[in-house]
Amino acid sequence: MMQKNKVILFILALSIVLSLFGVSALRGNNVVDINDVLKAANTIKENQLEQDDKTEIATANGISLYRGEIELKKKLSMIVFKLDEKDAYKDVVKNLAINKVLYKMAEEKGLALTMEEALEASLLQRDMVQRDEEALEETNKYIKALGLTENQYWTEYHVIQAQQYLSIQRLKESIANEAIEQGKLPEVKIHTKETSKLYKDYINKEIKEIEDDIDLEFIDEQYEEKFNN
Amino acid sequence: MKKITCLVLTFLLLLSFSTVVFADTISTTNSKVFRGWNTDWGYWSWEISSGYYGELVTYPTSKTISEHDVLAYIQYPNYEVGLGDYFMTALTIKADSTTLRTYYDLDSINRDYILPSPIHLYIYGGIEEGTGMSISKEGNVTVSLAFQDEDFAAIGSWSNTLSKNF
Repeated sequence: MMQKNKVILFILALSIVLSLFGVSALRGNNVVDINDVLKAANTIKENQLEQDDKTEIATANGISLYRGEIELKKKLSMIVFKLDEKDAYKDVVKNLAINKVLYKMAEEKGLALTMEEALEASLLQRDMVQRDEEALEETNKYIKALGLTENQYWTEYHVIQAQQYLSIQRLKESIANEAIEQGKLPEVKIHTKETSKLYKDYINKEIKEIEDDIDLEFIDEQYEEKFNN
Repeated sequence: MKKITCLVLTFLLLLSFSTVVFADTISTTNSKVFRGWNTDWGYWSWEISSGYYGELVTYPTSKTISEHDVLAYIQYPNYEVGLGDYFMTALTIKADSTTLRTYYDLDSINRDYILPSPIHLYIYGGIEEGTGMSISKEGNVTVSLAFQDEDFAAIGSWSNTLSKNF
């Protein structure tokens, strides 16, 4: 009987580990279908009202996570990454929490891009896309699926995404720079494979520590259940 | 006497031609836009220009590439933020359709992630061993490259190829 329980516990632990790995591995280094991305864009368009639902579901280090954004991103993850609802909730809440915390840190350190800088970044992206026929066609389909004009997309919608994403990248860069100053990382002008890995491992370790230290408190019990199950 | 001198000179000239070594640089470049998507950051693109430069050495009856260099420049984004990674995954040398050798674990250097553009990828010289071929054959060098960014899922292929005949 004891032996049987051990086997069940082992299988349970293994399945938890595998499911966690499966969720976290689905974000990056994954190939997705452009048609699913376009469907996701269309979902964003069709759920404009839902996005504005500012009912507080949880807080991450005191920063609010809202029902609207969680529900929308869950749908997007299900469409593009083919996650089931349970995994999509975990994935979305986890990523939303860490991204909001990192962005807040970037803001507090004065690293967040100004809206002018973000606009410049967005317009540079537009210029690049316009030089490539395939990228231009694909981007225009994406903008159309979002229900936006090209001008709205490049000067408003994408600016907000650029501002948040690039601010977090600046924070990651500052983590490496601080480590260089503290002598934890060597100063490198041209990276080799080894130094590149050293830097990445260090940044990823620091981000993981920040993620592990996030105080995630659910206000809505139903969502807590969805997240923990 | 003049005849002999002339013959000797002609012989020496022919001899020098038969042992002469010609060196030339062969190159090919391309530019590719890699596209990706993230639930939080939406649709993003990265443009990378890649170039292959080889030192082609031609002997009287054979030819080989004595040095290979690959340079890659990220055209966008061009500020000091996460740029993703750009790797050389393989370099293959063929004579006609026969593969002479494929190098996988290439000693490349890349400036990426936290450093501004350009990304430099180098393959050092000295990997030409066993890749020499008759000048009558058409040589081909193919460099396989791959883009990677942990934050985004790829839309379409994130691989790139540079190919040059010699």
